[in-house]
Amino acid sequence: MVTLDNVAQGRDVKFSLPEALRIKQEARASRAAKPIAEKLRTLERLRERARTIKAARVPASAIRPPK
Amino acid sequence: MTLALKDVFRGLEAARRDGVIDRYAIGGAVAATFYVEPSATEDVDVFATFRGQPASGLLTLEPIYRYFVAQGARIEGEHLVIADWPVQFLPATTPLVDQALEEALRFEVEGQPVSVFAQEHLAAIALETGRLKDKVRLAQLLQSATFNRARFDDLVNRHHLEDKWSRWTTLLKDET
Repeated sequence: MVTLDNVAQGRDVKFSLPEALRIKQEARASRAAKPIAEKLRTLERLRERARTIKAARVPASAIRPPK
Repeated sequence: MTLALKDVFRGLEAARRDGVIDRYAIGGAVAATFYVEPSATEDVDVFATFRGQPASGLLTLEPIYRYFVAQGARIEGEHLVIADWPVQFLPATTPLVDQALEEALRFEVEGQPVSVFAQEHLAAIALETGRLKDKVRLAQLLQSATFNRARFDDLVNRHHLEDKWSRWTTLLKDET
């Protein structure tokens, strides 16, 4: 099983794609099942983060090729 | 922690009460958040029928803009910015959207009522619209535990979306 603990301890780990997909699907279902107000707040945080990233982006015109 | 979207919902309810819009429902990514995990979006899509909407489909959003600006909103391009959220008003231009508006669900978010498209309608509209982000949303909704597949299939047939559905399922044959 791939866990941070197993990797940190240097144990042999086995990666199973079906298992990884199952865990991912469960995490997605768990996020979907949260109360609506909580999900809408997450949506607002995601939007805020996207705006911050967008504002910090260097415009292509400011990038000069190395001489 | 405050929730700015509640102010948007409050404004829409007031506009309906004041007769500026007849019917409305939230669509797009914000509506999908009521059923599946949240995914980033920059604006709120509001589908609506308007008072005195002409049969020709040609209509002006001017009365609704004027109403919301009087309430403190500002105009930015094609959006009305309400409570810092860009809101886009979209008229019902297809029979599917018309039906979705007719059968929209009522939710309460921390005491604030709001009309939202049912998830099967959201999925059918995503199929009808067909952009990449709509296809991703459709995939998410189909995996929702509460999704009513029979209802969705009925919408696909009723609104003649069989070809689009067939192409979409072929595209994702190994995933569905």
